Amino acid sequence: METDSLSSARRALEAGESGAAFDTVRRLLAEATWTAVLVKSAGDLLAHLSADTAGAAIAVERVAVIGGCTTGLLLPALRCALAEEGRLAVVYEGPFGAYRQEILDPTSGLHRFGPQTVLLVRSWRELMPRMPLPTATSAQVQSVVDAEVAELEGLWSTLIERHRCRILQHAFELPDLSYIGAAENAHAASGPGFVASLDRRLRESSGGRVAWVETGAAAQRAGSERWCPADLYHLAKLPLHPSQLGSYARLVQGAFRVAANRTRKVLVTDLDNTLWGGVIGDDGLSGVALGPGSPAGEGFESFARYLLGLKQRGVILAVCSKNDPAIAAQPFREHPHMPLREADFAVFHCSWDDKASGLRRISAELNLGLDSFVLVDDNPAECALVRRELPEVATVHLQGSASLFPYQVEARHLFDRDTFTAEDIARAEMYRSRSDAERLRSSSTDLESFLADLRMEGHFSLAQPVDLERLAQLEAKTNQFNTTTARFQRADLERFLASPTHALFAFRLRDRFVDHGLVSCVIAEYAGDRLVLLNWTMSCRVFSRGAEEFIRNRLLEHCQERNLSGISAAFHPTQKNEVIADLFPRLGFLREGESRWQLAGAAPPLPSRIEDSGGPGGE
Amino acid sequence: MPRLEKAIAGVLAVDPEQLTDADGPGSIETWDSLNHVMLAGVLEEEFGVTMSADDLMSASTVGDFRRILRAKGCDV
Repeated sequence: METDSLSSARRALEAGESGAAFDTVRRLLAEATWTAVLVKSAGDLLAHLSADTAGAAIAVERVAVIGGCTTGLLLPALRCALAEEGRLAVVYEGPFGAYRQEILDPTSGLHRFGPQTVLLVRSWRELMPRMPLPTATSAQVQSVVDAEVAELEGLWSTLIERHRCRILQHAFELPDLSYIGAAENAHAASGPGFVASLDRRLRESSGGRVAWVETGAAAQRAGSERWCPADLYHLAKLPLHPSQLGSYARLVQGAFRVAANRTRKVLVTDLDNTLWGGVIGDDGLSGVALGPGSPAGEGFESFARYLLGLKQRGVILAVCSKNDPAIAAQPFREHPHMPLREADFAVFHCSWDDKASGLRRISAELNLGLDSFVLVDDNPAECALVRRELPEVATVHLQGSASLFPYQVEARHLFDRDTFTAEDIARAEMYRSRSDAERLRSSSTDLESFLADLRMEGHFSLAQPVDLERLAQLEAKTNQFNTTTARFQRADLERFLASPTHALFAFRLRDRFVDHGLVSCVIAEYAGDRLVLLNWTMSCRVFSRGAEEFIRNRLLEHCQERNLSGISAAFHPTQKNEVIADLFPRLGFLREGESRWQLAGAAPPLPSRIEDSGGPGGE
Repeated sequence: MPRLEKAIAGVLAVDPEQLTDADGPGSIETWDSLNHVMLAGVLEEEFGVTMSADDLMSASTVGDFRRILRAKGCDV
């Protein structure tokens, strides 16, 4: 129960165990509905946690809250929003209404505080004194908009230049007085017209510097009388009705995720009673509620359509269901009112395992961390199990009518982004296609024909400066295909790149499904007449495809070009690289010592299914 | 746990069992003007009623909030 969790957290706090208190609150926030009173009490508790006693495990986020209206009521929402993202907010609250001074005065409290994130709280009512008269022309309205935008751009630049901070800013709500009704929208200087124009211009010019707290959209959904009533604003310049604190906290969370690049990437869905009404194994295709014929069926169809919409916007979809795979696939193949197809899912995992195992498997298959996952499920027990076993997964327990499921997902702002590009769609496609390759492999009984079917093209060459980032990543993160686990750092790689006695190689691979990009790094030294491999790493995604043979052949060609007698390499076994324990013998190397191997420069090439692409892959 | 006491305890971080109708900003340290507004908002959410700015200004104790809610038809 909530009160029990909060009492337990309070006791931990009194005992000086900030870390335990934080964990308790974080778990409570993950499972409870965010009512105003929960956000208030949990947020106030978080305010008492000391960053010093919290321990190294908790990330601290220094947040400055400034604005043109009263900010105090919003602080608990900010704290809860960040806590669920694993951050303990250390908050500086600027003096009332003084956001300009706080930013422009170099000696202000805000600048002395040194924020990592700034929350800029605004209300449309602040704009009223500066709004153009109803008689203003379009040009006059635009010049007022220009002046507002210019002022804010100046403030953003000052903040970013000085602190390199994230900026979260309230989006202006539309004015809620329309004076003369429908005609109000017809003239250029109407209140809603002015604010809409300002909002559009601010979003265009903020380009990546500001993450918007979507208070304008929230006011429309809740109704502005409910969201930001006039009497509360006049009473105490409150930008928000306290009862909306829970919804507001989610908006801040969404904006923070955008700013901190913590947008979730994968939506894993249950099937029975989530994508259709009923249990497919029991009710069969004609027995499940899906499509016209019942309100429930219409609701489920609309939810499936919503998930398809998310996928079309770059979210990766996966299924995790306790079902027989063939039976579970039927609605996607045959039901006339199922908008999703099997092919829309990057992974279609049906088994009788528990959901946590299923999620781990999907994470491994996609090679994406569980902290980018969202599970949607109508079963509260499944959600609770996943929350316990995999707390980094965000769980959305779908309740009530299926028609409301999309809104329950939206309310969490888990997939909010500030840009939407062709690259985002392509990325989701890439994960889907990678899985296609996996499916092809598992259906292919003959490895040779599988490899041939992939139509792979590779490119192995000396690295360029632009490759350093990715090569450093391979060196740092690869555990399995890593011959010496030397863990060279970026600075080492820069040195090797510039050094005449070293060679840094990059290997790129493309197949008919997807361009894998740079997937292998070879670091070598010219020692006498030998090419000595200091380390060789490869992404485990492209194991056992003949890349090892291709690279070996190209290294031999390099030796021939440089009149070197051959290649020497060391292999340092670790707990994780056992999978390549026989790499060098497999490639024709002869043992030279305890952990040393050598290959003569005149050795003939080994067959590899990979064609030389003759140049780095196309964009 | 009665809903009024629970809501007040949540906002003001006090022990609900210790609350009396006479309690107000004078007797509870955390009962400042912001929390007063917060309280009204939370009670609106909890009891499904609307509190006007007048209701807010006229309430200065737990008992006052109880009377206001009863007048709006709440069983409290």
